[in-house]
Amino acid sequence: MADDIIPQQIITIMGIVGSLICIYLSSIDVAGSIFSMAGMILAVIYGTNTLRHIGGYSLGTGVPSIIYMLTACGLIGVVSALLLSGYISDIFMPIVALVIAFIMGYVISMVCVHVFKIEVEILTKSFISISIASMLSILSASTLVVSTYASDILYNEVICTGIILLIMIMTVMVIQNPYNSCMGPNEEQYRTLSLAISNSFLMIMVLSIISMLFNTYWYVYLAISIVGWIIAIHKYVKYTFNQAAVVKWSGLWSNTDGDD
Amino acid sequence: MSVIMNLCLVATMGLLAIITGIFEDLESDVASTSNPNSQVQLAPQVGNRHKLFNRAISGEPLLVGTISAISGTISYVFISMNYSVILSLLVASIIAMIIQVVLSITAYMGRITSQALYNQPLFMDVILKHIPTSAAHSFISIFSITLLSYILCYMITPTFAITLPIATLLMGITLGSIGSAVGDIHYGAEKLYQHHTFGSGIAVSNNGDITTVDSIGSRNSIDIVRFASKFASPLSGLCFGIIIFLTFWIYIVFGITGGLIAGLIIVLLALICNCLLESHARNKYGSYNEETRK
Amino acid sequence: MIELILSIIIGSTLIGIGVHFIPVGGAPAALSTTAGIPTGTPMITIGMGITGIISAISLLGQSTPIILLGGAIGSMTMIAITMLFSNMIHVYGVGVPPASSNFEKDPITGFSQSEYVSPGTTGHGIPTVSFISGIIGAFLGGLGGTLAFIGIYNQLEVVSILSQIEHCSIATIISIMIFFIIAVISSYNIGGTIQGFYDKKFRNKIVSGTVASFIVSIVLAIIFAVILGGI
Repeated sequence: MADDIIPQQIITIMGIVGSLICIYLSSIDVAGSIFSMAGMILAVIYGTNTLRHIGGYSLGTGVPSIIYMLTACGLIGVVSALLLSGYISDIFMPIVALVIAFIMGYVISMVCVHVFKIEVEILTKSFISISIASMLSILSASTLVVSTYASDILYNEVICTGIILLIMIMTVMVIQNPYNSCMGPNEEQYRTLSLAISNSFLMIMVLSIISMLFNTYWYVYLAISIVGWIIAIHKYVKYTFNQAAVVKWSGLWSNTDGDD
Repeated sequence: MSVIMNLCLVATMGLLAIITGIFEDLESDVASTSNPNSQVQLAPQVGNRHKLFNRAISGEPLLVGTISAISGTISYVFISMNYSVILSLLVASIIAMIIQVVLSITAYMGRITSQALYNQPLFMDVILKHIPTSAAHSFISIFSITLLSYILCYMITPTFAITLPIATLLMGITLGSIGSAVGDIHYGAEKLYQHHTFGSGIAVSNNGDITTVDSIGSRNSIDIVRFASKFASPLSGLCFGIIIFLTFWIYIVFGITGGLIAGLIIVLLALICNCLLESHARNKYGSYNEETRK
Repeated sequence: MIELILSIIIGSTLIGIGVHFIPVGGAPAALSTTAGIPTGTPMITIGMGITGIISAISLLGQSTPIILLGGAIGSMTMIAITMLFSNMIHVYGVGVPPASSNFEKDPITGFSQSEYVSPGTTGHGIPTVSFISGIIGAFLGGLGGTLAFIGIYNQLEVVSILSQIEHCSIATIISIMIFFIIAVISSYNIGGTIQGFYDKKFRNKIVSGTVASFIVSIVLAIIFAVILGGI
């Protein structure tokens, strides 16, 4: 894994604070879902960068398994906070979800450190970070579909119809795909993060089509996500062509060892 | 009357499951997914450069589950807005197919570039040759699995109490784990190492020594698909089809307690078939004696 | 409320124990280099558990022991047929008999193992004792998953007023979350490959696996009891 050009601490702060602010701003009338899009992208960048740090240690299973488990912790945080909506007011619901995701990630990392005796220094910090990042991504995506963060609307429209499972499995795919696709000795932070941004725009396109049931301006969101995807994929292809050994459009590989 | 109607629907579900299994396994061979892909990645490190497609999106159950869930949810949205059923399923399958194609292209470019240390070239004509085949196979697979879940949720008579997005996700994850457990062995242990002798597993010292040259120049993944379509894919389709068919058929024909006893008998039959298969293989192939041990 | 907590704790611990019985080979098994099912531990466990939940949903409305047995038998069917077809491809496609260099002799059929293992590998296929171990693991896993599902569904029927489809959907979502967490935690404990209960690794790992699943299941049961107690 290569070193960070943007440090992990800045990404952490931008991820947690920026995403929470975007969730709170998602109740605005027409532009609310655009803030949800920004929240989702920030949360995915936070999760992918943390995965780049922990993915190099071989923990006994492959890279996707870490994300399965920690995204399930994030989903427990979201579902618990929404089902408790009778007792707490709406304004505290994202904070409660964050606290429950934090507790679940902490319990699992304590089990790994003390019962299985896995010796990795950054295990606790990374597991809690990925758990919180996936919780923020799931909540941002849910508010994108219904354009508000009110608990009863989220409960009736997103959880009871089963759309939340699609959001969870898309979060697993989006957080682990950039690192899994770019793993190797020449991995580089800008290229991995540009793939993360383009993947999240791809998933936002699907969510815009699903929000056809609840919003009347779904085609605006679809247009914005297509434009965003084109910009991100242009950057990714440019980085790829610069960093590949040699780019060929026909023919065989060369048999010499030098770079032609 | 409703018993006969249910039997016909369950038989259709079994047939659709067989088709889904065949084409999902073929698609994962065109684009070299999951377990045998580790050998395709290892090959440049030991000096074998190749022209195969090399996709590392994620594990196979997760990929098939995500794409099926996307297709199921979009068709659920269209059906709730009272569009016609077949049109919704078609449009949802096309959208899911486009997303899978985009993920494949970016994953191929990413892995090869991250191994630029070993001088493996990034061949762009590999993308132009393989993506249409991969898209066609995945469209048939996604459409069949969405239609299968639609029959399960909306047409079977004691209503199956689950919504369409959840049903497609469950079917997709099950299909992915079966396709990975059954179909990948023929690709990984046999076709990828074709120049080694038939009849043995791949020794650890031979890892990475894959076949890279074939009848007209370099080998590509379309050759692998033609080979795998003769044995591995029909078997994985049959496996998924038998599981889906038997899970629902035993309760329709035998009633509730009879169905439980029939399920136990099926498990015992599978155990007996496995014992017979093992002893037949031992008698027919014989042991590895000292002459063949190299 | 007490039934909910007990069913989640017992169900999750049963899933954690059942995962250790399934013979898993990982990525090398797809190249016939190791014996076992050629996929990762979390993947095959989640696939098996989902088949069990599908069987249980089709039996909703009967009495509780019948639903539990139905879920367990659904999981057993899926694992047995998958292992049988996997062995068929090894025998007829690659040309190797099922054998494993992990033990000397198969205790049930009496076949000796070491001269049927390809030179340079540590086995291929699924011998009979691993097959039986896989069936036992699927029984325990399916039983545990269905127990957790039924506990949550009954509690929702008592407390909330929505329709049956929505209760079933919420119960399915929560059961799948429990499966994801317990399956990956147990696979960290196994740490690679395992050949079922006849493996020497099994005796070392089963106790720590049970303790870990028990601790995580207590935390999950407390969280769900609080939120499902009053909707």
